[in-house]
Formats: sequence, structure tokens, C-alpha cells
Amino acid sequence: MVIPRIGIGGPVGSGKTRLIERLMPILIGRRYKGCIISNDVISKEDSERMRKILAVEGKIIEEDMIIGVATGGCPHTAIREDPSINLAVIDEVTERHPHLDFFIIESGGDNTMTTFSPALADYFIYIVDVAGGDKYPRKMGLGIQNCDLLVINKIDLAPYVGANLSTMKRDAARIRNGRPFELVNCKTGLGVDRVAEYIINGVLFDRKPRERKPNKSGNTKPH
Amino acid sequence: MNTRYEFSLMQLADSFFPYGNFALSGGLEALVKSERIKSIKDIHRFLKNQLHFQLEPCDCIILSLGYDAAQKLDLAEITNLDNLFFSTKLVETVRTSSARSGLQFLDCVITMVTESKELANSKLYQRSKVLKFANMFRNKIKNKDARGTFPVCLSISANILGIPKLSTIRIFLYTYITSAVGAAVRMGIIQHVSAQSITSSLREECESISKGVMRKATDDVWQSVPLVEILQMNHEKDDLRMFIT
Repeated sequence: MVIPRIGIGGPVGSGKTRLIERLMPILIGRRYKGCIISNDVISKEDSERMRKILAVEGKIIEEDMIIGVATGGCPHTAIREDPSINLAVIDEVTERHPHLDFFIIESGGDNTMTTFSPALADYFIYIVDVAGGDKYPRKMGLGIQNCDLLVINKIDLAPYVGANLSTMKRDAARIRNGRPFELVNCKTGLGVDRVAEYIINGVLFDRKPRERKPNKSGNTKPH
Repeated sequence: MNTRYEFSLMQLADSFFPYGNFALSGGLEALVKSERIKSIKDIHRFLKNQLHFQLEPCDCIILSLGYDAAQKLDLAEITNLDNLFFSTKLVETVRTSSARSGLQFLDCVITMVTESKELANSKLYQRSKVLKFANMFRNKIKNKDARGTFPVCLSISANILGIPKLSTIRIFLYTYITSAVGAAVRMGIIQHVSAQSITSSLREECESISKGVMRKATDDVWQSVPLVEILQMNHEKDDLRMFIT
């Protein structure tokens, strides 16, 4: 069976990595098991940080389940025009761990035209933050318009940067034309549980996590 | 003139063809970071050295022999060549990225040909025999008997599409050069027109190499780029990098 893939894209600093760090404990708490592929533009910082927070300190995911991919400075190419390197990594991980419940593919920071190739992601989350200004939703772009879920992050910063959340909500509702969007604060985790519900309903289709029992080393493997 | 294979040739040589080439600098980034490459002249010299000490004596010979093996539908020989290429490359990321790219390349061609009615009906393409051979090679990779390195997968793909051997070697050299100069542009060392000038200046070099490797044997395979390899080994552990290798 093909393992569902969730693509997360958005501008540099919008909170893609933090969103994943908040989502993983919720999904793992519901007994779903996943792998993160982080597309790096220049540094390994994002994948190293997730490895530290989720694997080394959090111990909720194995270290080899967080994989960094170099993108030759072209984050959009790596997830859209030519996703072959990401697909190759997914194939390799799937061969080693065929019973995973999902993949999360984090794009490198990019612009509002970011989209994922349908060959790479089954579900696409686009994240922006209020610090970029409340104009973000109405400026549109394929990412904001076409994603399955638009996430507006850092809502706590709105009063400090002069962003009007009501305007953002109104514009998002208009631009999204009925498709969902969520306002969150990834720093505190506010609203991230709703994002997790969208993933569980929208791409995992409420399927139960694969049954696993502990093996001798204490890890869990499917029956 | 066989315009059908020319179209396929252009398609495979195009940087739009999806096999992850955009994420490779052909070793250039490692040398740029060590400040051994700073100018157009340096890039030109680097490419000439790579062509003569790596691509000509190793990659291109394996590509040429792979082409012959695919034509003869010799699965054992092509598997040997694939494993020879993989074991010749000392830098881990060079080996693995070649296998990843190769496999994606071959899968794309297999899908493209399988889904194309025009290709399926054309007598110009040795579709059925070589396509079956390509799928047998895919099974070898699945069973871990082969790796699916890029030169070998390109040689099989070119056979499927009826591209002549000499043109296939030209495609290989051209895609390597465009990948490296493209990386140089993205790293800001040269500007876009200089990239085209460098590519163009290597035309005769590539032509001579392409013709020269046509009749070489496995005993002729060697390569010697120790400095580039050492720097690439450091590069693969680097925290800051744009390219896989």
C-alpha cells in the first residue's frame, strides 16, 4: 500500500519546521508512525533541529526517520518540477519501513507560488505568518490558493506588527473559496491540534494506525 | 535524418528531464568552498580535468559498454558494469546520488514509453525487447543485485528510445557540464552568458572523448581525481551546502 504523503511548504521563517515539531507528538500520540523528509536550501539546520527535538531529546521518533535533502538552491524544483530525489528517498525508506503511516515532506523556504507535485504529496499544507503582513492571504499565489490547508502562524505577533487578524481571516475565506484555513501559534501549540485533525481526516482518512507490538529491542514493529 | 531520435535526444539532454540533476554540482561546490575555484578560468580548468581524469576513462567507458550490453540484452554484463561503476566511486554521495538519479531516469523513460501510443507503434524504437530488458534490470535493482547507476540507466534508456551510442555519450557529457556550470551560476561565481561560453568551449573536447571511448573495454576503466574526491568527502559532512555533491 502507498504510504500517504503530506507536503508542507511556505516562505522562509513562516514556521514549517516548528509546525512539524508540534504536529509529530500529536500524530505519534495517536499511534501513527511517520518519517520526515526536510528539503534544505543551504543548511542542515532544520533537519538537525528536528532530530535534536524529536529524536534525541523527545525520543518520539528514531533519528533515521528525519532525513535532510539538499536541493541545489532550488527548493521549488525539488518538490514540483523534478521531485525525483525526494521520490527516491521515499522509495528507499518505504522499502526499509513498509508499515509507516505517513511521510511529511518539508519544502525549503520559498515564495507564495510554491506547490507540490501531485506525484510527491497527497495533501499540501501551505503556511504563512502574520509577521509578513496581513496582506499575505489576499496577495494570493498558487500555494495560498491551491493548498489543501492554509495555516496562518504567529498570530500572537499580530498586534506588534500591525497585522489585522480579522482582515486576514476575511481575505483567506474569500481567496480560499470554502477551502479550510487555520490560525495557529506554533510557538505555544495553539491551534495545531486542529491542523492534526485535518491531516488525520483529510489524508489518513481516519484510518486506524497500523497495529504494532514491541520487539526485543523495545521498538515497535507491525504485526 | 532520423528526427524521432533527435527529439528524444533533446528531451534526455534537457535540464527539465526529471532525475535530480539540478541538485548536483559535479564536485564543483566542494572546490568552490575550499577556495580552489574563483574564476571562469578555474571552472574551465576544473571541467577539463574532470572530463579527462574521470568522465572519459570511467563514466563514459561504462556508458559505452552498457550501451552495447543493453543492445545485446546481456543482463549479466550490464549488472557487472553497474557494480563496477558503483565500486569505482569512492565518495559515498557520488555513488548514492548516481544510483538515485539513474533509477529515477530509467523509471521515467520506461513510464514515458509504456504510456506513449506513438512510441509503442513506432518501428524505430526497439521498444518491446529492450523495454522488457529494462524491466528485468529494474528487478535486479529491487533484489539488490544491481544499483541502477546513472551511466548504466542512461545506456538502457537510450537503447529503448533508439538513440545512437555516440549521441548517448554526448548527452552524458553535456548534462554533466550543464549541471556543473548551472551550479556555478547559482553559486554566483559566473554569470549566465559565461556559463554558455564555457559549455560551448568544451564542444571539441567532448566530441573527441565521445569518439575515443567507443571501442574501449572494462580493462581500460580507471579514474584519478584524488583532490576532488577528498574535498567531496568533506563536503558531504558539511553543515552548509547547496548541492548533494
